Amino acid sequence: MLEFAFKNITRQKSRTILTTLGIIVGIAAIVALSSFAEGINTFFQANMEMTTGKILVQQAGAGGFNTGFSGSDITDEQLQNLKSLDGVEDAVPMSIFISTSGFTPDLIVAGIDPSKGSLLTGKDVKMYKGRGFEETGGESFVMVIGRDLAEKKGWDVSDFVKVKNRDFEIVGVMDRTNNANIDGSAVVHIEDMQDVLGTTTYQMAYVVPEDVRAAETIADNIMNMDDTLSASTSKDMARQSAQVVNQLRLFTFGMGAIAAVVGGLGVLNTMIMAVMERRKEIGAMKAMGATRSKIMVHIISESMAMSLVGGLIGLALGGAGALGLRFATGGSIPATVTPGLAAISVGFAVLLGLAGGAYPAWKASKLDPVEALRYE
Amino acid sequence: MLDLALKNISKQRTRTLLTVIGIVIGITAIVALGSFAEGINAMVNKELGAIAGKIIVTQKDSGGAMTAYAGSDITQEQLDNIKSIPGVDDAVPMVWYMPRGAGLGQGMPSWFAIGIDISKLDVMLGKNIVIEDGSRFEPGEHDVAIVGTTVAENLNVKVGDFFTVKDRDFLVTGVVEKTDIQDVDSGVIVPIEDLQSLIGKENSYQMVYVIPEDPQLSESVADEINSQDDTLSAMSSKDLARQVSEIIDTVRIFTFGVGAVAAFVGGLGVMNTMIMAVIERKRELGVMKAIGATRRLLLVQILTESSAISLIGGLVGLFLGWLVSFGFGFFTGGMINGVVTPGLALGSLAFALALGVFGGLYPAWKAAGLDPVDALRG
Repeated sequence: MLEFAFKNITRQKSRTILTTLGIIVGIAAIVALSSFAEGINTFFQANMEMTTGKILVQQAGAGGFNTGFSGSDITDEQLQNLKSLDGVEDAVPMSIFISTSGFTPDLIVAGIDPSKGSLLTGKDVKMYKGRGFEETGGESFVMVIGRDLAEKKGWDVSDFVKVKNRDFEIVGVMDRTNNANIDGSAVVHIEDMQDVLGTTTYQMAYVVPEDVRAAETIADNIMNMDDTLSASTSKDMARQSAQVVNQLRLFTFGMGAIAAVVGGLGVLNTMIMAVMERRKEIGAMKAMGATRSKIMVHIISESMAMSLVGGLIGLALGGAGALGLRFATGGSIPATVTPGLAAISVGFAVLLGLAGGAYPAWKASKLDPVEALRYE
Repeated sequence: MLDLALKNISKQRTRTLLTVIGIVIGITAIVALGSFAEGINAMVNKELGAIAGKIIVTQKDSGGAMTAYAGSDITQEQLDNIKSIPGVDDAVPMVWYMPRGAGLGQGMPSWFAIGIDISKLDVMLGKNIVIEDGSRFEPGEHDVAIVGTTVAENLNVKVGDFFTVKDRDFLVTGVVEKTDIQDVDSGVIVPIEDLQSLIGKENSYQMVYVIPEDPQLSESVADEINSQDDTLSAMSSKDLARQVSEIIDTVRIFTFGVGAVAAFVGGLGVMNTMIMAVIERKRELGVMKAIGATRRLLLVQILTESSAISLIGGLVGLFLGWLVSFGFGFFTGGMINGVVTPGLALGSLAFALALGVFGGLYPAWKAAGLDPVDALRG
């Protein structure tokens, strides 16, 4: 059947190529645009990894990452209160400084207590070069940077980096963690960060519950205890970022789908022409006893063959486009073609073939053999 | 010529209709998406109009416009220094506060609080605001606020109500008449000292509006501020306009690009249809050539047909895109209104026409090259 379909569609070479090209362009657009949404998703997932099972505490009313958490002020006293809550194992303060060039973040510096580092990252970070922070403390204005950041900026151990108005010496470069947030950031002592920001407070605190399952209850308890604080569990954050990602997915798919639908119209047009041209042949098949459903399957397999080929080539081109996007943005947009995206886009192409073939197939199956054979 | 073209393309009604729809969808996408970009442009220009000729000073590395300069801290001493720079008429400090729930992925805030010396408000905005209900609070009053129309309508705030910012209640003394400046219409304007203590910046400001004596000199005054204090970043309204137009151009290119991909696929459909048409009419074209039609005539004939298809598609697409552009205003609550500028309309029609020529060129060349003898025999 499929062989027959391919033979038929190659009868009109240029028409088939043009029709397939329409599908190719549409599917490539879907894949390339959606890879962007998937890239953002990967970025969020890396974020989630860091916060799984923990509770992020900020001052209520402060902006989020977008505003660099700068409006948030958590005092030492509040931090102690958090630590003394039932079921809380530890509360780790953190402050972030983001310097921007134009409208995009250029350098993200996190101030933490180095002895609590593994609590924040959820894993032991190994050093690629140089050393980590001294366990005993006592050093100041030293910095450990992620490997991506080191490569992007060309920074190395014992270089000095200016953060706002202070110079920090790089003492180590971390090994890659495959978490974009860690690999692309710099880490300093929280006290030094407070010095840079000119505050004695913290922007946020990560609360580590003794029992992960109690995270939601503890978050509620925190907000009941101190209504100037807002506590969100990793579940809350996952829900929020899933919302963003899903909207973005819908948007990028929709944009690409416009072109693909136009490609589908092309399939419809081509198949209508094909049925008209082959009226006699279809009439003869019917006269010799071919059933309606056989003729329908016959026509639809032709249109689906075109759209499937178009979908596969489009997927390959879109994947190349995603790589290009990644390259052109210097990796700051980690565009990814996930298996799900690949399946959906090829599936969409097949669907277009089905939709474009259905009406001509129905028309063909209804042909009256006598009329069709008489047709000149 | 056009008559004949229209007659020819209506011979195969279904095919022509489908081909036109392909172009329609593409051009609709270009116009609708483009109107969105133009809408953003119009909105931003209104905002920029309010600061024309002024200079915005923030602390360097304080997060930029995207983070609403939240990390910016300008001290009283720095403010006094700015005021003493020659050519500076006045420097108006301000602070603000955004409510929780605003930020990445959480949508725009429904309001934000602005702390400013009330007597300097009109100077900063470059126009006199009108209080449509109630009155302004007086300089020196505390725990009082005037609110913008958007706040009053959306949150149902009236004169005499208390508006809670963070954990402090402000008595609303007036509602500002619609200004079309987002910052004012969605703003809750309160005495600067109140907001400073509320956000823990008793001794510093987030931003200073500098008003030069001569608006023409805003760029050189901005340069002077930057060179006097390298922890500050001074941007004249011209610098800002330049930065903003870069972003808007990116949005324009993106929206056009996405629409153009769909329209291009429509153009492939035109090419397909015209190739079929030439094959079907081989005999007819052969006869025309045999009785003396020139190559040029056949070329023009086929191109006219393909251009007619794409131009009709372009016009219908323009109309549909214009209809869709109203939807944006509706869905963003009037914040971003789709605007179909004459440039956008003409550009999209020209693009449609170009697609028609692109789609018709190869079939037309084929038709023109037909050998009459072969064509009549086939």
